Amino acid sequence: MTDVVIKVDRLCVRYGANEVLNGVSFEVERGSVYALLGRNGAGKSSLMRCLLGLQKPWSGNVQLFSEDVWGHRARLLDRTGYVPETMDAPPHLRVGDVEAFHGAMYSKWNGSMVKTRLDRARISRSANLSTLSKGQRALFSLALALGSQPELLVLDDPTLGLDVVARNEFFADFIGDLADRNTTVVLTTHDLAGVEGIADHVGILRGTQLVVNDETEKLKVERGGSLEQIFTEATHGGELGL
Amino acid sequence: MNKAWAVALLDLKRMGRTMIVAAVVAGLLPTLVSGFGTGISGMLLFDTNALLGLLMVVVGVAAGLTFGGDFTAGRASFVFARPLSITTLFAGRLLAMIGLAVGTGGIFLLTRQIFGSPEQAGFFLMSHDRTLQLLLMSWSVALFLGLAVSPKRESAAQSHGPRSWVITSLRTMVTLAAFIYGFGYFADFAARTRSSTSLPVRWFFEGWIFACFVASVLGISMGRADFTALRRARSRTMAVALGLCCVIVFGARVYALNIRPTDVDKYYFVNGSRDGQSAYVFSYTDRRGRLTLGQQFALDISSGAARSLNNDPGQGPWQSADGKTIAWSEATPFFIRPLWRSLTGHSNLRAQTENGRIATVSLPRAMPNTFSASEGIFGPISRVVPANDGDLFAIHWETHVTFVSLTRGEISDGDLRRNTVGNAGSAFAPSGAYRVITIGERSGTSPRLNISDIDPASGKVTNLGDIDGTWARMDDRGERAMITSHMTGTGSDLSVVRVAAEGARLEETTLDVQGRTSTGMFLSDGRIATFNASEKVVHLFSAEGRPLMDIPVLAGDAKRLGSEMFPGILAVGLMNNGAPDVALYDTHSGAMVRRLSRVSPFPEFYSHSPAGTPGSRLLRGDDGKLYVLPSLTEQPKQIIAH
Repeated sequence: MTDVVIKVDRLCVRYGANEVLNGVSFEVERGSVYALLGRNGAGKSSLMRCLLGLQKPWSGNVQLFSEDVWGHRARLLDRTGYVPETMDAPPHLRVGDVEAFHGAMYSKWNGSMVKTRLDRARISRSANLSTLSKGQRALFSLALALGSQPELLVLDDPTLGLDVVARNEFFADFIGDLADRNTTVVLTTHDLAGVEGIADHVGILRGTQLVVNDETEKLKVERGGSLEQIFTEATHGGELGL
Repeated sequence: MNKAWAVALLDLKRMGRTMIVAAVVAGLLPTLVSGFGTGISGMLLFDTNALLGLLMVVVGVAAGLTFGGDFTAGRASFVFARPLSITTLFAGRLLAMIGLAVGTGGIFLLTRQIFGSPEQAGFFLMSHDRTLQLLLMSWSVALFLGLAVSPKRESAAQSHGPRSWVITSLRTMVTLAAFIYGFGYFADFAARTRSSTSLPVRWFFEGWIFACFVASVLGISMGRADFTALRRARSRTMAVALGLCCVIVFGARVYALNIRPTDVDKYYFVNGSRDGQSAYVFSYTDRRGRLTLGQQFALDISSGAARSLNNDPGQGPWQSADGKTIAWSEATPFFIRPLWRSLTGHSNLRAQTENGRIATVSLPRAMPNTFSASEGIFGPISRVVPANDGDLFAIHWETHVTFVSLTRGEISDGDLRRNTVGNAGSAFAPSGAYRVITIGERSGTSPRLNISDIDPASGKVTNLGDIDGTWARMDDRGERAMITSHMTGTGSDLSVVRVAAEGARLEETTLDVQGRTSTGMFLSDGRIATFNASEKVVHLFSAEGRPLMDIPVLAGDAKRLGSEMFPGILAVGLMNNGAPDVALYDTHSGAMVRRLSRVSPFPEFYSHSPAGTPGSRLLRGDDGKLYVLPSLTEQPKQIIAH
């Protein structure tokens, strides 16, 4: 029997009359790296918000660790790390303040690990958040997410706006951590090349549906070509036979 | 608790510096302002408690706006994507606010103590309850408003189809109607209940602040990082609050304004009818010991039967000289009145004629259909005088007198002087002319009164003359007027002006008395009685103003002239060891003929009833109840209104 960390069942998300997701279902097993792909406005962020219990689905159900995430958000998120698309901490705070806040939030907080990562990224604890570069902010967010020693890591397009060097640095850090632990990862990104070597499962959103949901290698073998080609074909309405 | 402290600490770090600056500035403010001179030393800026209260409001607003701003700025995930419960989040935010309040309050007081002069330095007198209340109220409102700002990142565009447009329009109209109804009816309720406390107003506004708080909590709980859901939950809560408000206000209005005569606790003043058989009584009713409500009734003195007069406060009933016709301004909801009048031409002026029929009196066409601060919320009509024929009504508004007939509609309009500031008296004279005494604008030290006749048929104004004076009372036939002049703190001079006929010269006779009088009245046989409270003496004059007799009021502490209860028998109100008494004096012999304890007469200027009629013999007990004196020898009898 497989250990399912995430179970999304017939998820629908609407904003008034505007339907964003309709009947999206998928599961993510423990230790998997699931890349959720889609064009802008495909509903990736809405799905991410539902995954974290930040948003109530219109209908359907989202479970983390076999529990409804909307109803048990605070407890389930103690086992979940989150890296937002852009830093969501209030501005004009110091790095140390935000780190201390996170330290108080999580039961398995590992301060020394965060310190090591911050030192490696040359981020001073006394630095103001507004003075950090985009790359440093992304690495800081990742350090905070990993500091909670999560069983599940959710990354919402974490490399958006980063240059190649910063992006490589981010993924190197990320991969390093994955190698250390059996962490389940769900990430959305537009950086297909960056995740190609990381993600073992891929989901592609088009319209309001999840049109692709399979193992990365299997997709590559069956359809041929790179992840980018598969993505292009799927998001432009090509028939994948899936 | 650890998590709540972490949330609080973060807020303290975000706002602490700004609040410290605000506290120091507030503490230094009186010292800085005092440099501008002593003229503003009495200003609020010098009051420690006022400044502290203001600072608490600033803290509450800053904390609320910061909290709300996190959602509109798209930072909700910072807390909701972490293992932090909503309860802990609110607890942390409130802890931060209290911490900021304590810190800023302390710094403010310290700054005042160090830099303020000794007389400026105050003490922390605000109660903790009040401080917490101010903080929570300002925080709730600021959080609600903070969440009302459009977010930087909307989750999705709203649909704009025709159906959506219709639904949005309908929703807006219903909301607007409910809003006008709820708030308008409350304003109407507050104005009409004449509440003795500000409790209803406080309840109303605190209720709305509580609704803001609940809406924000529900919005944040239901929406979390989804601003569309947050806004929806917030809007629905406020819609429910608005609906509740409408129901409660309607219920309160029905409860408060439907006072039965048996509910009345105390009578405040009584206006005897011209025929002397009934009285228009203004009563107080205490609802549950916290809310005192006023209500006016038409009371039949012999039977006690009372009918509620649904009139605007202070707007009637106005009686004709023979008492057979009365007019009043019907208490329709005043907030909708101008609109309703514009749409339908509806008049809320009513008249009851001799046969008991209630008719609607048209409003003057030229009268503005708006509220103004000077005219009050119930409109510009200051007085209505019905003629004895039961058909003609003189309606005073601004400087105009408009004559309106029940059968013929508006007849004419007379515009009095532009410099008129008020009416002192008016009556339909036997000649058919409408005689008016107006108060002129005070220029220099010599206040003037003007007497004019207006022809109801044409509206033509004939000036009869000006006299020195500040106030006047005209008799029912418009032939004599008692003029009050040179009013001072201790009393005034009285004179009598006789207007023999239209166009005749005014004959003024000063009533010659030692010292200054407090008040005066015309007796039923034409004589004049004046009263000097400080000298404790009643002066009697002939109809022409010739001194006749002085009656010393020896019993008790004389307070006021009452009515002429029986022909030639005058009531004087007294205070005896803190209790009200009445002494009745024979105005022919000067002898005291009766003394009544624990009752007081109504002031003579309220009485319109002829001497000897039941309406002239009304008394108010020290228990606030209404009594009538059946005869000179019997005990006062309580009137049980039903």
